[in-house]
Amino acid sequence: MNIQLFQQQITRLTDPLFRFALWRLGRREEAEDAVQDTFLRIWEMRDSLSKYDRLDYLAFRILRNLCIDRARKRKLDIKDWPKNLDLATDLQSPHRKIELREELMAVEKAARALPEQQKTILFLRNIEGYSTKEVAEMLEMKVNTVEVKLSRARKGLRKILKR
Amino acid sequence: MEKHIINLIEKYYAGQTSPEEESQLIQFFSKEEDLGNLEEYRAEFIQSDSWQTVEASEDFKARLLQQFSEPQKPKGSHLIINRNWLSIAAGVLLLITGFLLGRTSPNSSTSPNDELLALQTEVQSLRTMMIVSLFEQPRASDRIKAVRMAESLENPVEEAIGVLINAINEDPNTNVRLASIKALSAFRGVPEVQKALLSAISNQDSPIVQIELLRSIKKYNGQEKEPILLELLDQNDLDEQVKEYIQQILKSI
Repeated sequence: MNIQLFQQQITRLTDPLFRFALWRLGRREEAEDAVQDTFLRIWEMRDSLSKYDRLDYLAFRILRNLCIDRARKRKLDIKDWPKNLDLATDLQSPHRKIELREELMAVEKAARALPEQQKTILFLRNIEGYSTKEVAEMLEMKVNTVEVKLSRARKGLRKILKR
Repeated sequence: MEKHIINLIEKYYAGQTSPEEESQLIQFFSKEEDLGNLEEYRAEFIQSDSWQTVEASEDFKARLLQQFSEPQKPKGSHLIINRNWLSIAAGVLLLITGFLLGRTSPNSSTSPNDELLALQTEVQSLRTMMIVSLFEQPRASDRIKAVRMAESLENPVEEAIGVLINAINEDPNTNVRLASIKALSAFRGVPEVQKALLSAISNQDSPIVQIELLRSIKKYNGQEKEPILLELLDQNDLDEQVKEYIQQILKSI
């Protein structure tokens, strides 16, 4: 892969990869480090990239492993996660707005408590909008397995929230 | 409509909705009005939507593109070149050491002490160059290597102290900042170091780094830390553990 093509991939993939790293690690600077390391690793593999059909799959796989390593090295703290996510709705009631922010934090917290694979699947499906088939290909799993894990993740989230 | 949404929610929890159906759900739960019984599901769908708007900063994107910008020297190979350069520098360092050691042999006409001093200066200067170069690397592990090298310098070299202070204040990686604080403790006799450690506390967002800085500062006897610590205590967003630690230090002054 030449540098121009690589730059195009950087432009295309930086935001989704950053979102994933931030979602997993909570701190912007750490997320940036992980994304930068991911691109460095891909660049080091540039001579053998032709064997990968989808660069985004490869990038997410590398980044997921980097995030797991980083998360192992330090205890993740819910306080690290972005607190001011834009509310994607403009509710009329200010009271409900405050309540919803709290609920949103509870969802964030609950999502961190999910098992490793469920967290990744939930992100790729719910946030990045990959189809179940695409997630299965990316994570080298059966479609049915992804469906089961996704269902468990969503139900698990619901269960934690209802407590 | 509500029945259709309830069906979709069931499908959603079974992991069987398509991305298009999920878009419908997100759209439904983004409505401004009260959703009645369905209101309890809102946060889950809003969460996905809120995350979709998160983006990396323009500055970070620009840095990435710049890193992989030169046609023949993208950062990956730039890194390799730098690493090669570092290997060469290490080789040169060994050669100079050998050469100068040879010149300090008993047969040499110049004073062995002068030669030894020259050797030490040369080695010191090359090591400082390597430290500065390693600090410019994108990988945190390389920057930690730089910290280790700076730590092993026998004399308080201004440049090494400068890069360590800079790393404490500017490095995005917590581990690099922590390692730099520990390394700077070796230069605790230097007044600038004490001052830099004190003023770095308010720049930190990580309580772990703040506590490590406070630990370092605790070892110094200077009274000038008191007003800065008192000022820190007034910060509203200060972590409780950090606050407690500051109070302990203040008691011991």
